[in-house]
Amino acid sequence: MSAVGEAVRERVGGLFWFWSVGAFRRSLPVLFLLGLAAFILGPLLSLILWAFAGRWFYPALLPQEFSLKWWDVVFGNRSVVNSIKYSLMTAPTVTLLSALICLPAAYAFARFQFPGRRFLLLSFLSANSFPKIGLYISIATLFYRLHLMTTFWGVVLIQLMGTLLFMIWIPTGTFRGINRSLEEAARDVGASGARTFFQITLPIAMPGLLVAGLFAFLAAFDEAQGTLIVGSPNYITMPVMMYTLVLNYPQPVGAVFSILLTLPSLVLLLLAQRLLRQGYLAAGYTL
Amino acid sequence: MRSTTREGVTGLALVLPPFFLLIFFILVPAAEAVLGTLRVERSGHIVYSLARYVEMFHTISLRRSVGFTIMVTLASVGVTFVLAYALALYLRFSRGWVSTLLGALFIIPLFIPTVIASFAMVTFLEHHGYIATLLHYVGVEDTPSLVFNATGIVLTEVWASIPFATLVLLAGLQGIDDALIDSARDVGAGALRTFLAVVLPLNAVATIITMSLLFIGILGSFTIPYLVGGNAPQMMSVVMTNYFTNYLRPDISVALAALSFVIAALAGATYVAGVSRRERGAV
Amino acid sequence: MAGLQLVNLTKRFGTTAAVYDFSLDVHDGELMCLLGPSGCGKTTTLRMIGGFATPDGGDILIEGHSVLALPPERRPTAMVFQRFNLWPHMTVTDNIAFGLRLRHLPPAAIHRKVGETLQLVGLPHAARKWPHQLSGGEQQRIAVARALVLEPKILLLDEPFSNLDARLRVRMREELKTLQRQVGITTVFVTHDQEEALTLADRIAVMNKGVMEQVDTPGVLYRRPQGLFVADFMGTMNFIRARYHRDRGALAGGQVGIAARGDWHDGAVVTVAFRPEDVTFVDGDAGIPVQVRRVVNLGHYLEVTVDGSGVAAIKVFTDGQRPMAEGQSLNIHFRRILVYAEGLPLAEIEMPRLTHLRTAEEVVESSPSV
Repeated sequence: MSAVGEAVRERVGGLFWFWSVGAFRRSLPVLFLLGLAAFILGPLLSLILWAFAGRWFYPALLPQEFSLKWWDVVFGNRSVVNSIKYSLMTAPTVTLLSALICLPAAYAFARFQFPGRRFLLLSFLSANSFPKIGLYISIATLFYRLHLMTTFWGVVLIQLMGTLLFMIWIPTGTFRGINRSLEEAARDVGASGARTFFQITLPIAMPGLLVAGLFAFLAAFDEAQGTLIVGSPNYITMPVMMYTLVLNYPQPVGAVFSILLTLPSLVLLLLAQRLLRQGYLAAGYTL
Repeated sequence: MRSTTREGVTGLALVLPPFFLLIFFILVPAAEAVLGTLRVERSGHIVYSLARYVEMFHTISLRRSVGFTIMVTLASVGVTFVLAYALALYLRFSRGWVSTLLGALFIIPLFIPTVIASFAMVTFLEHHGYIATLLHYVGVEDTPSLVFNATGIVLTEVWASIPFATLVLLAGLQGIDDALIDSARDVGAGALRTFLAVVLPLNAVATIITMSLLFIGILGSFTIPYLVGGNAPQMMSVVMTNYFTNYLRPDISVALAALSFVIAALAGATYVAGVSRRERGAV
Repeated sequence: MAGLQLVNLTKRFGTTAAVYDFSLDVHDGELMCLLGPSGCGKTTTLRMIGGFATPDGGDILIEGHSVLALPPERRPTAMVFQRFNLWPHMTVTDNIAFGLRLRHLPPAAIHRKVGETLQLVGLPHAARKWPHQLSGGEQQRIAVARALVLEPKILLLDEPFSNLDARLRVRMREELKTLQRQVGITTVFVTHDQEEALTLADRIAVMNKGVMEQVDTPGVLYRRPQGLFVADFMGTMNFIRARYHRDRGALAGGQVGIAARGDWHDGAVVTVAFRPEDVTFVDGDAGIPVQVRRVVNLGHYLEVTVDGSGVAAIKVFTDGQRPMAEGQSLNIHFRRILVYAEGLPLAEIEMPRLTHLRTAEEVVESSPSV
């Protein structure tokens, strides 16, 4: 190593003296944990406090007055309540539709050989790479022609586009991970290709597919730009509503609505924790 | 021979439905939009030219916006990458209560919609927000502004990107057999050496995937810069919206979108190149 | 009539032929082993029989009818894979009953058959268990049960025991052999372990690089391996390169001279092969002088490595009556040798006459150059 390199190394090495102090090194992970917890949970906690704040002025650490009045404001607003309804209608529909269309494709990507396979798989990246705003005019024109503007199915369709990537890539990986001999054994005892898929492959793949479904649901639920173009003013979903609330209403209103908007996600979070922890690494998975 | 063509046909048939959706509702509209940006009216005729892009290039605010967007994106990707890799390494190689808690913690932002994340960050970081309140109690006043500028955008993007990045990197690390690590330590390599010589190269595919997908996502993100960003310079997605809704120049809006897409495509190409070279079976 | 006939099977992957012009008759009720090193094409052949790979050329006949056009679910074959046989989301009973339910058997009949087959493989109480609750050996036995319950015409096994530990492997082999005899089903068993093949098979087909080397009973394969590959692959074999001298009627390799007459060309280089158990130690001056290099005690016999007289390491099996020590000088004699020459049939010589070529010029002019 050159003389310059050595000198630099020594200088930089000198900065890491504390690395050698055992106690400090051991406490590093805990410090990291605390720092990360503050970073991730801090904003959320602040938001929760705001949702229950009657009055809160700087520099109080907690609201001077706790109250539920903003909740009444939110639930009293009809368009707000409607947005909740529409979100809960569109997101599950989108997820199911996405599964129906994409899962067979994912299986084909995982098991079949056909020309252009790689290209087609990668092309789904483009669905998330072109900014939706840039598509405004074209999509609006297209949807007008198809009579899909300001319709329920128009909103479903635009939200569907954002889920394609997850519903294809993750299941492809999942199906790939199932050892072929499990499927061949089914064929061997007399099951057709379709039956093998439904009775063997699908059950074993279920955990991975549920993860994909989770991501797809969240993507559909969170979708704002496209829904704004297609849905307004009839079908406003929660994220779109949120823009208005954040910009035009007092802080607590946005906070209350945030909690409502997050609830379905939290439910899914708890379910997901069980899935991810359980691991379901049965004999069928090759890692 | 016949069975392989049958397989090929079935495969294509199964794949076509989502692909057709992609073509008709994303690719065709996008192509139409971009073609529109190339059409310029000259003395009563429509000609194809790059005039609009030239105009964009000469507008200082737009140039600055593009530069700003790339800088912010790179900064966000960089910070996310470092944090996520540290997390992934710790989760992969350590057990214990810290590990379990970290595992539960890092995934939380995934379940918070971007709108809420942005809103929460603003209340947290703003002028009299929670951070300011805490600092006030420690005796610190007048901190530099953490929100409605690049810093705010980077912080929020990092906050929202940690789950995905960590998951992908962790999955990659889990694919590295313990034996490979142990043998490096067996011949005398320390932790840093092992990381640089064994872990980093073997996890290269996951790294490339993470970085490129992060880049594409953050480059095109709208909600976070819209709610958390400042007035100037602004990220391209916000500028696009302004040109569409406020300045009534939808053509510039689409041109910016096309430019954004080209930059994203370059990142995507890196992803493809990286994956193809390293592990052909991955995609 | 043969239970299974493979006729000129060829399978290519890219430009290389994994299996080339492979023909084999498997008799009804026979246990045939496909044996060979990895990459020799044995698994590819098995998968072609099962219908999981399509041959590029040739035909497969079961009881005289071609099954080439049938997909795996319609072939009268049943396969036991090396790993990942049992479906993890089903109980043992459901695993076994799956195929029966497809054939719309009444539940009572299914219940009975599952019970009988579990008895047959010695796991009568496993009916309600889940695969992950069973050991590796038990899982493979259930896999065999699942295959047999459908009463297929051909049973195919792809190295089913290679993932089990050694003692279990030996036990499973014996059980499988007994079971196969009992049921009488035509079986093809793929393995890379020649000891396994020798124990199990009625006949063995040795494959190398996609081509058939030799098909014979274990005994014949061991005693009269037709080519150098088979000679080396089956058991342990010693080899000496030697040159044929027609005028002196002898083969000379190193300082070893062997009296022999045959159809070889004068001056031709041949390979002399002999088994370690066919090497004896002799007293006195007769035989070839060698030195003991290594003695390995294998329990009921000793494996002694000797060299000398211009030949490299020779392995000898001996019963341990005679004391052996490293560095010891002894004389050896061959009871039986095989002579391999390019293009000529195998020659076998019992109790050959050996001479020790002492003088330097005898050695130089006689032996093939190293």
